[in-house]
Amino acid sequence: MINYWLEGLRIAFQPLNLLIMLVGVASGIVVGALPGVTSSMGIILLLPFTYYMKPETALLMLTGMYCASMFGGSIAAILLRTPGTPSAAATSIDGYPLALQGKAGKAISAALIGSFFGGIASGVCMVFLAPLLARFALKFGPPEYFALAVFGLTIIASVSGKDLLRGLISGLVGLLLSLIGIDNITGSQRLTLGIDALANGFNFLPVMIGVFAVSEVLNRLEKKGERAQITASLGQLFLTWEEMKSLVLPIVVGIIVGTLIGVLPGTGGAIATFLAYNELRRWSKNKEKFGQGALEGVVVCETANNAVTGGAMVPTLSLGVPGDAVTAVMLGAFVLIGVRPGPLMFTQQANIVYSFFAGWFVIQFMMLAVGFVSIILAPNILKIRDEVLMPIVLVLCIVGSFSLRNSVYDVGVALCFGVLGYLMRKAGFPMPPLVLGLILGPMAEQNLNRTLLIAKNDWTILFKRPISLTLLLAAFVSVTLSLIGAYRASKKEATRS
Amino acid sequence: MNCSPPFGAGISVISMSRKGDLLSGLIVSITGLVFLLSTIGIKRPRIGLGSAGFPRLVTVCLIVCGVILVLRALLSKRVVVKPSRIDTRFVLNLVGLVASFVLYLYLLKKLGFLITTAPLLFFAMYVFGYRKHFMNVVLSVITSLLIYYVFTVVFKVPLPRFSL
Repeated sequence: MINYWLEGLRIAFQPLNLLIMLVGVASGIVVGALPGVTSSMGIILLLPFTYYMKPETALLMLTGMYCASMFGGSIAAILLRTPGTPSAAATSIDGYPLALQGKAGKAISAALIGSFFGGIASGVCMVFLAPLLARFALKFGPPEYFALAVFGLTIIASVSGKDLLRGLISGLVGLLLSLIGIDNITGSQRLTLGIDALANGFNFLPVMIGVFAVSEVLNRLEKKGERAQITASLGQLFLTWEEMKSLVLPIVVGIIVGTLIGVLPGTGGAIATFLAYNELRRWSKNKEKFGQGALEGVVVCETANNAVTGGAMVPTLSLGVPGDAVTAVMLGAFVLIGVRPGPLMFTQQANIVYSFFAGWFVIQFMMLAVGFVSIILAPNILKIRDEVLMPIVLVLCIVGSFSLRNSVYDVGVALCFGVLGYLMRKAGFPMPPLVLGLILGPMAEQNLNRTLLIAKNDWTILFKRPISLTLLLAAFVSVTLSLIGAYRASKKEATRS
Repeated sequence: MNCSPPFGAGISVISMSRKGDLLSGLIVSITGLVFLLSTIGIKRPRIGLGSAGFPRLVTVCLIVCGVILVLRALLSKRVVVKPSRIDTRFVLNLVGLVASFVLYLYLLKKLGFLITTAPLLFFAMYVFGYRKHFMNVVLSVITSLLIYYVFTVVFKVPLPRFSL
């Protein structure tokens, strides 16, 4: 174990890897800060730059982007009241009033400190929990993996937004897309509708580029001209000793809530931040300050937000099942750069796992340093105009999809899925379930097939093995709870109207 | 709730969201049906799922969900909503951007990355509302060159080049 850690630290501290992490962190902050450019989109746009890197180096760059974009989201949330990422939405509740009071600099500094501690604490949690879960998952056979994929697919319910049915359809479309082409089991073609180009199926990256990036470019075209103004100056950056002391409790609350929520599949940063914010407000002596510009409110959200990252990586790394929508994109990115998440990764690619662990902590310190510089530059980052940014994103989409296999066909796929993604968004279909379907589809099909081969078509095997039964029950409970939630929400909506 | 049709008596009016549900549901069901029909003829093995087992499960679920969406649209209360005006300029911009992308794809292999990307960038920036034409040209050319350099020289990705 110590040898693995030493090797991991050696890799993480190589000058090239430090530089790559720095690029990842800096671009993550910029991506997070820009409204309309999400963490998922940032990870996808960064992918083409990683093809020719070693897997461990590429992984560190993507992790830098992932962690730093979570903090970056707070910059726009505080200065513009437009969260850069969905999980920074709660940050604006107190962040924006602070900006109006001329304390934007202090608010972003506090957000950065919270993000740093959240990242470190969730990293510790990940380092302890992920190998444990992976060791446990070594006992899994095809029935357990199928049950796990089913459980993973129930995440669709929680990332569907207001309309569960639309989320389900989106997930099924993702599953369908994952099945087109040559069947891995028998080697025969299926669902190609006689179109030769579909024989090889859809590559994951062009689909992701289309669905997340191209569709967002088209979406921003509709919103051109809508530009939030930075209403306040940054003011002071450094916190006083009293202010620092007031951050301790919010950081602790943020760490506990964020890490716990992060480990649970299907939750994510947005839920964690609102939950942590509510909990802190409930227990706070200064309830009335919340919503009016309480520094504690900003810190608890940003701590929880970043505490989710490490927690969400636990099921992603050890089981190959994403914890939330962003880690679903990360999981796809891992596969593309040659990293195979799952229990065997901890023995077969141990150097990658431990360089990732070591790099995780280095990235948090880098985020702290680069973050302070970014506070000074924040107003300039937010001045980057959509008119210039979005066309450049479009060209990066083209290059990204082309460079995967040097194929214009893949660029065409990205365009088609961009248009499809745009139309689906306009019709109210959420995109994260589509990605989940695309990732978990092959896992579910292949393991169900293996299960039936082992059990000679006896489906009851899924309910006879304790782990698969538990996972299926968990999936059932997860779906039931989501249905109850959706029913209550629709009833509330009906009462209101 | 006002349920009277705004376009005269006897004309059934479906609100935009209901129309959306109806249309989406139909498209989803038809898509599911088309793919389900394409699995006909795939033989089922004696044991195991076979090539068609999982696709059939997924497509049937898709059809069912589509039908539920249609039924939900038909059974929901009729709400008269103010018809939203379609922004013609936006539609033209959107169609123009997508069409330029399609043209770009057609020309990319023939003319190469540099010759095609700079005009695409210029046009995209214009469509997004950037009206400083000189700066637009400069930004388009520099960005194309920079991306070309980074990918071909640093990452060794052979982006398409113009050749006679």
